[in-house]
Amino acid sequence: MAKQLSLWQIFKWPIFMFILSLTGIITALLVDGLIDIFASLTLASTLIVTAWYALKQKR
Amino acid sequence: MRASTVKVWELIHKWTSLICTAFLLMLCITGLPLIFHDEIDDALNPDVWQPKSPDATPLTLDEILTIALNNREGEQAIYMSFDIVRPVVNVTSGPTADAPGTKMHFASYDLTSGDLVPPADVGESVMEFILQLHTDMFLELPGMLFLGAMGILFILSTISGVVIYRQYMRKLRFGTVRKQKSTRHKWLDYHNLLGIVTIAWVLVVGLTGVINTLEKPILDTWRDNNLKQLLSEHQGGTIAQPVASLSEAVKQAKLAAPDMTLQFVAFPGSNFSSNQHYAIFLHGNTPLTKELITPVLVDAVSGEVIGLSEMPWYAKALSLSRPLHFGDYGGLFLKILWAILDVLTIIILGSGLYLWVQKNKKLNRNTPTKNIANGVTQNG
Repeated sequence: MAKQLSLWQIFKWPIFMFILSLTGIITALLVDGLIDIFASLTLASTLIVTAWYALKQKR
Repeated sequence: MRASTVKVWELIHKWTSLICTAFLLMLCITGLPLIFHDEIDDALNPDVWQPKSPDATPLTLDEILTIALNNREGEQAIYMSFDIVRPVVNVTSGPTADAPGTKMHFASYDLTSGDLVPPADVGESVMEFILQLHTDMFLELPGMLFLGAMGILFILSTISGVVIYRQYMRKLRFGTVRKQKSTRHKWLDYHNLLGIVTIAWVLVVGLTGVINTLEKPILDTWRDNNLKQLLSEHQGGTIAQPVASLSEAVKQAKLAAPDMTLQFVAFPGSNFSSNQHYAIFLHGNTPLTKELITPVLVDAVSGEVIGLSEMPWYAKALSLSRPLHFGDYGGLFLKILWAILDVLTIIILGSGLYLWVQKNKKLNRNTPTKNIANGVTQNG
């Protein structure tokens, strides 16, 4: 039987991505110009991580 | 967490999701073209119009107003607004300053020559239809409030989803998708993965959507509590014929609210002004404050600045909710991300529905076996 994970182990990645997404969303509202792209990249990084996890596993 | 507590959260997740899913799917699908409304408008209306005399000194607002009213004999000015990109001024007029929307006439003028600018409205009716469906389903305030209630259910569904995520992921590493197991397992894992990574975006868009559905009550409260307070001291009986120079009034308003940009003017007697004043609306110049407007009242007879009223917190929340909901504040890249996240939400909603149907099928398959085992027959 697989080992039961702790609350931190379950939520550490979701919390990290929550903070990253929120930072991107809010920063893009506060700044204009080139930093907008960095803010969008911050939000995009969560999608890249998701795609990585969704695609890396064997069929 | 106790099993009974988990059961309660599962029930909350199931029922809040089931009730709002159909409406959320409609909102996500209609929301997609609305994210790109600027690009769609530009594509359907290629900007072939050019100002007649780009190097000429721009006409004054008074001159544009005179031309507009000469074109609409017997009408009065109601609103004046300003194109952000082109040297174009829009004038809304009507038989009276308090005329209903159906009697209003909208025309655009070239600020360099005073010539009429042809309307760029190809596809406008389609986008208007989509926006109306997305905003209130053609039911006005009741429709908006209903969609707001669906938004609250969606937020509850999201929060309960996070709580039960823990149950499902007790023995699975983050991002696990069990493709080798059944289709139901695979979609459960996709549902969990997409749901948990999009949570910040979903909560922001959901919450701002709910705030947007309260637009009318918020604007009414602002007008009744703050603007009327400012207007009450100066509100008179009949609608004044504006004689003070509009250009000068705008200049005075800008002096009263420095570092702000002119957004639009409401003429005496219109919905957003008093009977005696120009209400001149200005917005800030920073990325954050450009969403926030400050109305300055200027006497339409004497040209004297009467006062200004800053937005209360709830009106500011509404103003900031609009860009945060539609994602049109950070350029095309952010819009594309908004669209991807919108599509992921559609997948989350669809997979949730699929999982519920599959679970029900499984329960129905098991029930007869259980009944037979318990000695219950179909005939009782």
